[in-house]
Amino acid sequence: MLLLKNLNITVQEKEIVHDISLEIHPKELHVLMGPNGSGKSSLAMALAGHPHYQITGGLASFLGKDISRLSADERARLGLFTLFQKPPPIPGIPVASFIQTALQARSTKKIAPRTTRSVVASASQRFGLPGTMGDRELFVGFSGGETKRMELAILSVLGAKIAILDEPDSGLDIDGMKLIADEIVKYLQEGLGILFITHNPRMLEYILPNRVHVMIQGAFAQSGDIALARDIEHKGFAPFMPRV
Amino acid sequence: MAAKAGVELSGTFIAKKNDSLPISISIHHEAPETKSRIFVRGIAQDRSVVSFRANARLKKGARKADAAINAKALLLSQNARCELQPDLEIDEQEVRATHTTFVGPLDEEEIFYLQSRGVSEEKAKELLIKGFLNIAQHVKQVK
Amino acid sequence: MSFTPPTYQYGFWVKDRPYFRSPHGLTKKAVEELSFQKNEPEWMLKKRLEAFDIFFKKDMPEWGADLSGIRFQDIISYLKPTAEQSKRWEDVPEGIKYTFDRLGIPEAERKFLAGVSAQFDSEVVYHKIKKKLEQQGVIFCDTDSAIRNYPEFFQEYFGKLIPAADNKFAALNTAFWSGGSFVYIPQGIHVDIPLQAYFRINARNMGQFERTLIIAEPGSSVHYIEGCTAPVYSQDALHAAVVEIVVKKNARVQYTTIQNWSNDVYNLVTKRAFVEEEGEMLWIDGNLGSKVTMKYPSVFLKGQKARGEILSLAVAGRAQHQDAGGKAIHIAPETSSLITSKSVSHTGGRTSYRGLVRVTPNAKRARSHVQCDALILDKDSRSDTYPTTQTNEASARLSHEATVTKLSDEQLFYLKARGLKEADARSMIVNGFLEPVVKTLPLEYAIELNRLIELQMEGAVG
Repeated sequence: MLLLKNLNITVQEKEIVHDISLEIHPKELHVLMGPNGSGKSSLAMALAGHPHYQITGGLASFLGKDISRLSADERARLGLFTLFQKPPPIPGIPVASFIQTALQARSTKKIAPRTTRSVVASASQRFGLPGTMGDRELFVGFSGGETKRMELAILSVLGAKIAILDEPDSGLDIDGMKLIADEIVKYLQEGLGILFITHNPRMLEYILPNRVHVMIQGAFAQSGDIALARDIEHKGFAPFMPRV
Repeated sequence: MAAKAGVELSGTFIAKKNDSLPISISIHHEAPETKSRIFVRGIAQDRSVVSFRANARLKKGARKADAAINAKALLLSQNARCELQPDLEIDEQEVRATHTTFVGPLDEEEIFYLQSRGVSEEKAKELLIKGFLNIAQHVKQVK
Repeated sequence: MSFTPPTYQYGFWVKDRPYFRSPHGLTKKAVEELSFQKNEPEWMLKKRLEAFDIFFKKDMPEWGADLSGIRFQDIISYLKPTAEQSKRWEDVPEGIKYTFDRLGIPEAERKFLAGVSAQFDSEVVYHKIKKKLEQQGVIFCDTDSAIRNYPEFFQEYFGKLIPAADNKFAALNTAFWSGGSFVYIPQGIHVDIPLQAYFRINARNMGQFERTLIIAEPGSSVHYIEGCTAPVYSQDALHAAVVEIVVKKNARVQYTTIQNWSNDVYNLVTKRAFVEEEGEMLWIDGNLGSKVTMKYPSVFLKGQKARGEILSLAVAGRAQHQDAGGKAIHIAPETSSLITSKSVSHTGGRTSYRGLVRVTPNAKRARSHVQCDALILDKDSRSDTYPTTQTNEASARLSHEATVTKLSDEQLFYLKARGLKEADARSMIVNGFLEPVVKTLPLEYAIELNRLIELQMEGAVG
């Protein structure tokens, strides 16, 4: 479904991701690990269509379409969801209004505000957010935990075919991690493909990935299965760093 | 102005007796990534009149220009007068411009606090004024 | 001079008022004719004629927007007691029709708004409201009737807040005014429904030179709403209205304006409120339309603890210049003022914030804060701020903050990454930016306003 082949990504004339190849099919969970600054988030943002990132080599295709030809919103409406580590506050826009507009963008039928309100209310509940969340301005004054939970709630409301989750677990407690694990299991059953980015091996106590990739300095150093992740848990990333 | 040029204007004024102090600053951003900072602190005493005019113009072509005007004045006597006019004219989209001004008396709460720690009212005011004016100097050193 | 017999009813207050046409243009005779047609008392004619002389003596303002396009002689080729356009629906510009469609305004109402038909249900609504108000002793009628029925108020207040000599356009208005509202709220009375100019029969045909006077007696309160969000197509190229508001002790007046004149109109308005002890005046000023608007609602805080607030919203698109803001003059102790301005310029439009906060000696411990924020959406557009602070009183605390920015790339990207099309994402951010002002409007207005801004930004409305 999501196919990356020898992908190079450049930001401000500097190539920061090199020669990445990856295939994610429905119901597959891929985990991407790597030290800070290895390019994981850059990869996520570039796939989402961030204007500062350019695909300068190779191919990125989603549902058979070359995504480098698609704008960020076209990719999103096709079903590519990228969880933001730091979504920007949008003052003056209540969460419910945002959801309403986003849902409406995906449907030709008119969506009643009442429907949106109840959808937002139940999502808030599911993700441990207060019932008043619908009225709060989007990401304005949200704590780190609230932000992560909100992004997850938005994913559950909007739906996706491929979800790229960039460290959704950071800043969350055990309950939060379990919640994410439950959601992931559910999404996989529903047919999503997931790329889960983390540098916290603990998360893998709750989910079993199909593939694990290690990213070092913008490239995949190695790919494997859960054993690879356990290796990292014990030895860290040092063994994967290039010889100096 | 050349691209990426920057200007920082930091000033302190003290107007007293019958001073009439017109301050006029004009900054034109014409090239990309230019930056300006105007930082003014002053006090007006006795019968002085302070008239502060700043005009920051960010013209077309001044992409990513960044202008800030920050002007504060303390009026220390009933007969002092102050006029502030920090104008901004912006003709280019990718810019950031802000200005902040304040004019008013010394803060009564601050004076009271110092007094409650044994400082005379006279001395307290002196301290606060010095602190107020010192900020401009302080900024220069940090940069 | 030719009379055109009425082809419609103005409303119950005027039975056979002729539709007045004057070939005299901008002359004293035109003033006299107008006054005669209205059957005005001598003192009003006198004021008009004095103002007429002042108008010619006064210079055009040397600051502000570009007014060089105004041709006075063309503008006053004919006068109406209240402007009524007999236009065919077919003559209404496509852009205007399209907007009505998008805003979901029913056919009949559309024709009325376009000045095509005067038949409208508002008469029934008006009567119901009028009955309720009468029980409270509240007066709400058009200025023309008020001059005849309540002359004492006008002799006391007309031209006192805004004399003809104030500025050239106030003089023009004082000489040629016609239409507008008169509102009087007796002591201690609170009017709980917003009074809308809309409800005044044929008031939605915005007069060229409307003159409004509102008097709120001590302890009273009222909310008056002028204008509407649907674009008003006007044949007149110049609108110069005057609004005078007297807020007495402990009274509260809110005056909300949503202006959306068609893009060939010069909209030059003088609005002023005098606020007495512990009174409160709130101006909410929304400027979306017109070619040029120059408008600075002001509050003169004359009594102790008087409070004034001005919320200004301006959106300027192609070939538009919104030059708006507010003025707060502190004359008494413990007075406070708050000016909040939110402006958006796009597609080559220009917004200017122009404001004045002045504190006179002995306005002890006066407090004022001005917050003006401007958003520039593209590289052809422009934004300026010209804030003036003048103080003569050492104990007053006056602060001001202004920011000018473009749309945040990060916000745009996030919204697009959630599936919103570019235009929707931009609208959302702009609506969020304007929200602090929009939220003060009654809900229906807020919703319509947001939709209208979206439309404007799409370029659908000319």
